[in-house]
Amino acid sequence: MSGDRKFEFDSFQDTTSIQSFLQSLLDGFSKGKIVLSSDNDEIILHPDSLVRFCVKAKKKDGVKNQLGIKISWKEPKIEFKRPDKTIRITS
Amino acid sequence: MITFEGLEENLKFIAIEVENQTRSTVSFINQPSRKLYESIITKDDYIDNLKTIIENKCFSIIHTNKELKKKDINRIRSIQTICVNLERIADFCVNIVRQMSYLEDYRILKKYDYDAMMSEIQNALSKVLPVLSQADLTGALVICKAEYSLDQMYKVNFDRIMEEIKKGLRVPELITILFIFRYIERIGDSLLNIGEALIFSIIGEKIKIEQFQALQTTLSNSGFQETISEIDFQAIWGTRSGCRIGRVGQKENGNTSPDVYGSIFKEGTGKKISMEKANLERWNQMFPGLVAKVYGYNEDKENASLLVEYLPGCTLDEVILTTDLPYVDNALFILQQMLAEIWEATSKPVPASTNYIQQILSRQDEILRVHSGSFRPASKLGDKIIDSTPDLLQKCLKIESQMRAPFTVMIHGDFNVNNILYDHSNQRIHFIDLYRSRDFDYVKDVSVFLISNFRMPIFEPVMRDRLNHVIQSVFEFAHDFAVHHHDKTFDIRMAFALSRSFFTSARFELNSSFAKEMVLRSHFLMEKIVSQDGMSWETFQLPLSILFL
Repeated sequence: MSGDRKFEFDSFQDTTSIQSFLQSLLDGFSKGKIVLSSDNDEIILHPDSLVRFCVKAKKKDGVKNQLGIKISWKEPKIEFKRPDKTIRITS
Repeated sequence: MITFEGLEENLKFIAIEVENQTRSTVSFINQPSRKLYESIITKDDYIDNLKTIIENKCFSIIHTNKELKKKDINRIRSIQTICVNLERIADFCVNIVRQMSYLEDYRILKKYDYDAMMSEIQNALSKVLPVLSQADLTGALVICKAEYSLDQMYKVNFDRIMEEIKKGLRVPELITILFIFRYIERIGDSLLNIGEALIFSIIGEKIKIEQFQALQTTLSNSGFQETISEIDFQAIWGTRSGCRIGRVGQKENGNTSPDVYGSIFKEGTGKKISMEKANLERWNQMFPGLVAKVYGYNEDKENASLLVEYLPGCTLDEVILTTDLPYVDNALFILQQMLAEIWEATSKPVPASTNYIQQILSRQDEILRVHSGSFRPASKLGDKIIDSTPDLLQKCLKIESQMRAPFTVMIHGDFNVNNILYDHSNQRIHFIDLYRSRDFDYVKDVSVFLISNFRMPIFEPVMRDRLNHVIQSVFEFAHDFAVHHHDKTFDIRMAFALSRSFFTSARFELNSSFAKEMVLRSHFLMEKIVSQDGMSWETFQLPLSILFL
């Protein structure tokens, strides 16, 4: 492990421009690789086959709206071998 | 025997005061007076204070004296329970005395036999101190039995009062009398607690009186001749399934049959225990030595008890969590060899339906009691429809009803990691807690085993890796077995079984975020199953990452 790494991006978008960001994330999920980089740093994420997906929406006083999407997963450590050949050992 | 000066003195005082209080109560019932009433109330305050002093001393001795032996701690715990119950008896006396003021004429009570009940109480109370100081087990049992006698006497009086109430005369007074008898009967409950605390102090084991009697009967049925005090009854583990298990060991050098000494005593509902007995016999016939031998069995109206061989070894969870990896791998190897042998030998090529989702449904109340938010409502995210938990369960139930396991094997039935013993010196595996054994889908045992590892609330990376390793090893073994036995629906049945094990495990987990993690994993699997509906079950691939944390 090379310690904690972070990427942050904060901006204003309109309903058209935001689509390119969301599409970029979708492409990343289908390729199994999401690269996030800035001048200082780069993070490459490989979404696992099991990800936690949490959506939270809030409408406060009818003025402030919030839609939170959180996707998290653990780095897979186990590599499972599905047996492809049939070797049988009996005692 | 160690004595705790001051503490024992205080206990002596409270016991004497409570005994006096019961005598004063009888005097008051016989002839109420303002003076006696006040004296009883004042004494009650004094008894309350004594109780607080004793409790403080008990906790402070345990807290400050780190060198206390287990036996001493047991004695202090026992003293604390005794004093709490003595104080409760004094409270009941006050309740009785207060009820008397609701009687228009106190003499009406004389028609009923409160005297016999109060004498029984006084007799039991007078034994408390001598039993404690002489560690007299028989005396402790006599105190316990007072509750039984009081119940019987209460019943006679209760029935009589109820008959009189039906006649419709003096009903308010009869109800007051009923209350008085009820308080007297409740003194019996406190006496039982005191008796059980005394047994605990003497034999160092928390055991209910019914269990104690069942143990005596089972031992005598199995040919054991000694008195019960010759037995060192020591709990070695408890189970979640409501059975209490203890080991019966030899106290000193005795010459009785060694079999009875090296044995385990189990007591529980008749059905459960008799199932266990039948299953143990079946396993023993097929795989001698795998499970415990049955030495004795006894059954009464509701409960049954069983005396079985004490098997050496550690539970597999202890092995996994406390030994080095090569030992763990060795234990897993032997376990897998044993499972392969059992599955091969007991396999019957009869397709069998499974009931994994039904098991979630039948436990849903229990799950919701612990985690009320574990069932989600139906919702929509844009156009995407999200099924509610009940809908998802119903869909899966329907799909499962169309599925069959291709063959059955003799399964353990509750294949938790702590129901497997590993005997390192003899290189053997043993199974325990077998009342759910039957011919069924082997995937059930595998799934229960895997999730009993997964659900251990251990998050420290090194130990979690260890658990993941065990899960992987056993899953690969089972998967291999499936491939070699042309079990083509293994993956989807495993998805059903795992969704069941994840969901129902939440009820044992009080850490809400970990419980939620398991419930969400169960939902994920059920959604996968539903998404496969209409396609061939044989093409379903279990998402393996679901098994690992």
